[in-house]
Amino acid sequence: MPSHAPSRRHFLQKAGLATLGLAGTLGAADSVVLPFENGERRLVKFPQKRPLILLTHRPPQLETPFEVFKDVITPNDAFFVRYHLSNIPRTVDEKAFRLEVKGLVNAPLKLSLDELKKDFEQVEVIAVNQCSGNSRGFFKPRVGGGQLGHGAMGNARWKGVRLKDVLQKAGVQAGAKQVVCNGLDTPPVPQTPDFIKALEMDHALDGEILLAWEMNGEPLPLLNGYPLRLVVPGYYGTYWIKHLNELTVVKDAFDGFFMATGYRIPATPGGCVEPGTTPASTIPINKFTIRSFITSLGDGATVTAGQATVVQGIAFDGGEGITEVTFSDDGGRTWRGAELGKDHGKYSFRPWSFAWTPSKKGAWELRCRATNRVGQTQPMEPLWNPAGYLRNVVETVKVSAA
Amino acid sequence: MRLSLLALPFALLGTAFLVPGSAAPLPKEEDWPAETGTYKSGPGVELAQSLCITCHSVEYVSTQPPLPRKFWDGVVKKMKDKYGAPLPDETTALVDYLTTTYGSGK
Repeated sequence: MPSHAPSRRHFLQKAGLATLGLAGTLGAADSVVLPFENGERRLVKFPQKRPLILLTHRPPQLETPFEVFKDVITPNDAFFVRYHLSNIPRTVDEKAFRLEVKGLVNAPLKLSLDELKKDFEQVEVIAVNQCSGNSRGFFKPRVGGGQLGHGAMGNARWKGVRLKDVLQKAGVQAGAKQVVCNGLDTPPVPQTPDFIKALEMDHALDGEILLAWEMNGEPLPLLNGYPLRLVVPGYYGTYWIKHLNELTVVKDAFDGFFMATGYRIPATPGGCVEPGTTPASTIPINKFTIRSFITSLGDGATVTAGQATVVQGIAFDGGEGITEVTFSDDGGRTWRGAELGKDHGKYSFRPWSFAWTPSKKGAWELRCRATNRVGQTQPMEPLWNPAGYLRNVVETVKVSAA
Repeated sequence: MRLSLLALPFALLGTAFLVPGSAAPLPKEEDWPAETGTYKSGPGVELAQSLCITCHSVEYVSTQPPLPRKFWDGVVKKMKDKYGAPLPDETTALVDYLTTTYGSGK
């Protein structure tokens, strides 16, 4: 089985859970093992979702099984879920819902969904959302936090209106530094900091960020932020506030926990430090690092020697745009160019393929490596930081030819 | 910044709420899976069961790699100081339990 795709241990796990008397509560649930220590996970069905890899139940954190990424668009019912605070809205009255725009603005707004849809230009973008900690389970040395495989990412077509247009309607005043973004989820105890994020004003006004109500032609699933969420193309998911109902324009940098303490990366080139060390200074996490994956073959797959196999995959970055993917069948010693597939826009997964003919029987180590428009590419050795963010090393899939 | 005032009435509105024209109606209360995970037995398990469970389910602990006491001590401090978790002043027994049961044991 693939290093990035979980192996199924249906029978074993069922037997184990039956012993615990839990089998009956699982329904159709199965289980998987992510390929790192303590990687056993149940597949659990949450509302509007197919059974997904359960990282945590309360608040829900669900990972997408890697096989799903064979398609360039990630279906809504397979799209990953990541909350921070356990008081999540279990339902939302769409008619009563309002987005409030306040703070340093000339005319504070309270907009219904209908008003958002009618009063502003509707736009669509295909964009990847990826959790900052995607692939954290592969860090060596291991770090604490959500122990994710590669499935805390997804690519969807988002429809909404521009944050810029809404802010301009409210009239941003001089001296505005950031827009502070909050959603309906709240902490379980009042002392816990609410999950609130801030965007720099020039970013908020650059026209790229959407307030989206639709995902792949459907209303957002509740667990992906219904009825309205931020879509911040090219940026890690931490900024994509779900159930967004409050935008506050402020003159000083917002210093809430999830900006000032959480979600920070070393202030070094590549955001990395020597493994096991603490960075001298940090900055808020921001754009995706460049990544690529083989999606058509996983670890342990068998191919036919002397016969062409079309190896397929995906690549993405923080929005510069993928310009090249190369493929290696010898563990990274030699590389050949892959063919790029349809361009769905600079924020989307870019599909690629390579017609590969294994010349002989035996074991093969397959790798892919992406490069973007400004020459950024993936490191051959993993970079490390204490929070387990930004992983983008060239990944390896081990297959055999028979 | 907290929106409990707004969120609360929404939570009380109940369940079978259909979005017009939507192929994906909002979930009903019975659509949510039951939380089944429990803490492994061991000295101090009652502390985890009564304290940690307030804010999150067990997988936040049980999915961690086997990390040393320093990590678990830091986690408990973070829960208390940064997240405002209602933990007692003395947390040695809780750190002991987490290190022994879910950590590297040292």
